Amino acid sequence: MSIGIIAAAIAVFTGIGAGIGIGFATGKASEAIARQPEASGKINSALLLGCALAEGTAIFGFITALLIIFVG
Amino acid sequence: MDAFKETLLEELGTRTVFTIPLLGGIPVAESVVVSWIIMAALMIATLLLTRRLSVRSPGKVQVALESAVEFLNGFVKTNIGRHWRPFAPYLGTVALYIALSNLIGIFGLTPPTKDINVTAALALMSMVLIYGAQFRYNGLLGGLKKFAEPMPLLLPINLMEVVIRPLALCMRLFGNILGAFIIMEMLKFVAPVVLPAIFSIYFDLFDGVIQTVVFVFLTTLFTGEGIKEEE
Amino acid sequence: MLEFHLSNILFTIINLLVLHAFLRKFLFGRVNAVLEARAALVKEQISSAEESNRQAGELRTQYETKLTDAHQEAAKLMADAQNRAQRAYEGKLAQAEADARQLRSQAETQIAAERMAMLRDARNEVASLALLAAAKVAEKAMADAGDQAMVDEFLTEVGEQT
Repeated sequence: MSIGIIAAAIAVFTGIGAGIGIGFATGKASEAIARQPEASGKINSALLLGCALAEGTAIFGFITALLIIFVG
Repeated sequence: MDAFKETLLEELGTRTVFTIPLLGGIPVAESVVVSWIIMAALMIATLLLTRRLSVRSPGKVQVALESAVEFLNGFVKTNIGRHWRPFAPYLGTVALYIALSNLIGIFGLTPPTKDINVTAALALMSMVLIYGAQFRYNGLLGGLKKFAEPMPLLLPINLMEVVIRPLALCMRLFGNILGAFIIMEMLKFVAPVVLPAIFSIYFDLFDGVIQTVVFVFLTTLFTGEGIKEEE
Repeated sequence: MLEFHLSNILFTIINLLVLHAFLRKFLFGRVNAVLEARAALVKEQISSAEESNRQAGELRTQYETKLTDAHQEAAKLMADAQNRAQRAYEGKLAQAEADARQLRSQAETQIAAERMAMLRDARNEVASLALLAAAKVAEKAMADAGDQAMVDEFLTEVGEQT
């Protein structure tokens, strides 16, 4: 079980990647909006899409951790 | 710790409310019952709100309703293009359903989106919508050709996407709601008085709405990607 | 937790389809119908406003042409009336002149006739006076015809000389 807990913790580390990715994307989006405020709508939708996709990694890690803890 | 794990496991399981005594018993899960409640609420609200629509002198409610529908139409139109008309009602329905499902945790009911079967069904419907639209508006050959775009080298990746897209949609919605639910349960376990109410604003309201937008937005975007370039 | 129940998925799909059919008919259908009706109404009103605008413009040009026509007609009538008045005035003037001339000529002839009559009277008077004078001169009455003729001859000679 302790091995499983450690495995789950490692799986949850995918959150780091998602966090870095989303932070990077948001920073760039802020820069883009500052440069071109009139294009904020398109930038926002692109940002939302990118964040959703980047967040997917974290979610997969989270699901994996849950599976390891509760099922495995 | 073990007690917490037990309660968590119990909360996470799909509870069967009752069984229809037909074909050897069809179990009806809690999420389905809550879905029925949401549907009933939506239907009654719809019938009440659209009772007296007038072209010349709209009331306040009608103005709000119209601007919401117009916003949805505009959103679908910009993302799907010329053939937006048949998609808008489905996407609006899904948006309303998911939003209410995510927010119903506030009223003390279990959100149906916490049940992976519901999100899987939603993702399956989205997959059918995306690829059905691709073949419907491009023809059989054109739809197949879409898998070799933008270059034939990407054919395996595009084929993998057929499975990955709905899986990601399903897991994203499920994982977010489940994660929020687990964190809320932990908070209730640790500090059952004030903290849960504060955090529920973020996890139930904000996260629920964001995930609704993401799900509908991604479905719309993928659908538009499948049929847009023909123009 | 992560177990898939086919019945559950099927229920959800049926739920979604039913909800979709319901909302498409009663929510989106009705609201979209209202929106389209409003758009059609606005379009129709704009076109009818344009139409009435166009009609008003047409009417205005019509009125303007009519007005100019009326002005011209009025001017023509005025000129006519002036002409006629002028002619009538001239006719009256001419008649008056003719009348006056006639009157004058009548008066002249009358005066001439009176003068003649007066002359004749005067001559008769003078003749009788001359007779009287001659009788006085001759101290005898010259009552016979020979004397009378002689006096007349004398008087004509005198009249021719004067």
